[in-house]
Parts: sequence; C-alpha cells; structure tokens
Amino acid sequence: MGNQKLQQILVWVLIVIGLAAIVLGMVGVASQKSKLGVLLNPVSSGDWSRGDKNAKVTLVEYSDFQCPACGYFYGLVKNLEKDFPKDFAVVYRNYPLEQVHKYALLASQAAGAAGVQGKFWEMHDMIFEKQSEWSVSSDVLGSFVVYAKTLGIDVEKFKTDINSKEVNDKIQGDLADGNNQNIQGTPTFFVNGKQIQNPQNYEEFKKLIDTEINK
Amino acid sequence: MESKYKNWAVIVYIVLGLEGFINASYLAIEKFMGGTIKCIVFSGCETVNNSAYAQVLGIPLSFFGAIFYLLVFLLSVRYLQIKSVKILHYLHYLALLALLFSIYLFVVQVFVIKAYCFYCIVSACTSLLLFIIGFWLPKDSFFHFLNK
Repeated sequence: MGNQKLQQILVWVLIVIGLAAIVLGMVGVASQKSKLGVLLNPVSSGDWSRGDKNAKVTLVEYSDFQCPACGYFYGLVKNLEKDFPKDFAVVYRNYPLEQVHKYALLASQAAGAAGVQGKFWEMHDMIFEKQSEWSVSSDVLGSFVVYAKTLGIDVEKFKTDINSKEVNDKIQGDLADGNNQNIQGTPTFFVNGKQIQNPQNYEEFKKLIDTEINK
Repeated sequence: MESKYKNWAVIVYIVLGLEGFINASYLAIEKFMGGTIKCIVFSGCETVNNSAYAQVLGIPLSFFGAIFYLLVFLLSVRYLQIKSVKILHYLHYLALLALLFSIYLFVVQVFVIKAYCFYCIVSACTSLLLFIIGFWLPKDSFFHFLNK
C-alpha cells in the first residue's frame, strides 16, 4: 500500500516538474520574439528629421500614420521635443502596415508629397492630429488635399507628387529597412541606434531620453 | 473481464489535455509578454486575440483555456490512479463545456471577427476530439451521464 502511494506521489512530482519545464520553455520561445534590436540603417541626410542638427540623442521611429498607437506616441514625442529643445532630434521612417491599415500608405505619400514642398513635418503633425477624422472619412485623399491647402502648398503639385518616384522610393526604402530590421509592429523606436521597449507613459519616455542625454 | 485497453480513452484524454494546455498557455504567455502599446503586423492571431471576444474581465481567454485543459489532463491522470467514477463525470462535463464554448468561439471568428487564429482552431479541434472520445470513456460513467 505504501509503495503505491509513493508511486502516485512520484508521478505527481514528475508531472509538476514536467509542466514547469514546459511553461518555462514557452516563456523562452515567446521572449525570443520580443528581443530588442539595433538600428541597421543609420540616420542619413535622406531621412526626415527634426530637432537639433547636432543632437546628442536621436530618436528614430518606424511608424504607420493610421496606427492608433503611433497616434498616441505622436503626442508623447511632441512633448519630448518641447522638453528637450537642445540635444534631441527625431527621425521619421515610414512603415505602413498596409494589411491592417488601408490608408497608411496614402498618408505616407501625402506627407512625402508635402515634404517635396518643404512641409513634411507640418503635414506629419496634421495627419496625426486629425487621425481620428480622416481614417474614417469616405474620401481620405480629399482630406489630405484640404490639409495641403491649409499648409499653403501647391495643391496640384501635391497631388502629382503623391505618386512620384521620389516620394514612393523613400517610402519603399523605409519599408525595406523596417523589414530587414524585423519590425514587429508600430511604433518601433530606436534611441541612438538601440531599440527600446515602447514606454508605458510620458514620464517613462522622458526619463529615458533624459538619461541618454546625460550619459 | 478487464480489458487491458479499457482506459485507452482516458489516455487519449491525457494526451489531448496536455496538448491543449501547451497550445492555450503559449497563446496566454505571448499575450502576457507582448504587452506594449503597438499596432502589430497583420496576422489572424493578432486580430482575433486583440478583439473584445478574446477576454473576460480583462483576462485573456487563452488563460482560461490553459486552466481548462490542465484540469482535463490532471483529472485524467488521477483517474488512472484511483479509478473514480466521479472523475469520469467531471471529464464528461468538461468535454461538453469545451465543445459548446469552441462552437461559440468558432462562430465568432468566422462570422463576427472574420479572421482566423491558428492556435484557436487547434484548440477547437482538441475540444471536438475530447467530446467525441468522451463516448468511449469507461461505460458506466457514460450511461450515468445520459441518465442525468
């Protein structure tokens, strides 16, 4: 009788150990997927950048204009630019998730087209500020044209440039970069070339940049 | 006459329970670890698992699924040890619950979310198998279940 009881206990001990091993194994596999990378394509003059030209800290963002998370971080990054007028620069790289965001590519094209006339960042800001409006509009291009008018740029040229080689090469180049980089989602941030976990809130983000500036 | 393979169905339950547990807990672990604010590159699994239907009170369904399959696994192992008919009753109820819930989730995926998650489909198949194999659990318990 005692022997049988012992055998039963042994079975349960083995089961617990086995299950623990299985769960740990899965945690290991899952954590591989969320590993943080290094920026492969360094910031260059061809990038859209804003801020201190000789910034100590550069934040590169792979972003999708229609992504709500990117819309959320737009506000945070804007505040970072206010709080760190010196030593800080921001770089925007297009990574439209076309399969889930129908108009992300068009938005990138609109920003790029505005950029041809020197208003990339103004258009970038407008697109994010009004993300909740145009993303559900029945005429998304029409919305972007209105923004272009507001920015005072040549609307006809804007409409043509949306389909231009220059604008689209840049977008496709960013996309290819992102794919090489194995981007898992947007936004993906790199601080001085090192990928970071997306901060949970502004305080966290500010602290991170502050630390990096004071290194 | 005690057939050597009388409990083959219970052994299948052990295997299915373990497999279901691994499947569901992998989903739960991934969800738990990927908790940053992001839009994910398209995958049916992300669409399904980020939908409102994938959680109860803020806890991902996969977590409950993992607990469920773990129960099936543990109960089945215990049955082989003590041959309690009561355990078989529990297994029957669990199998029925699994089937009904899987049908519901499958309908939601196909007709509401209109996206498919591989792991969810695997889980549904496991539940279906549990229900079907349930008819071959040692006979006494089966009739008890019917005569309820």
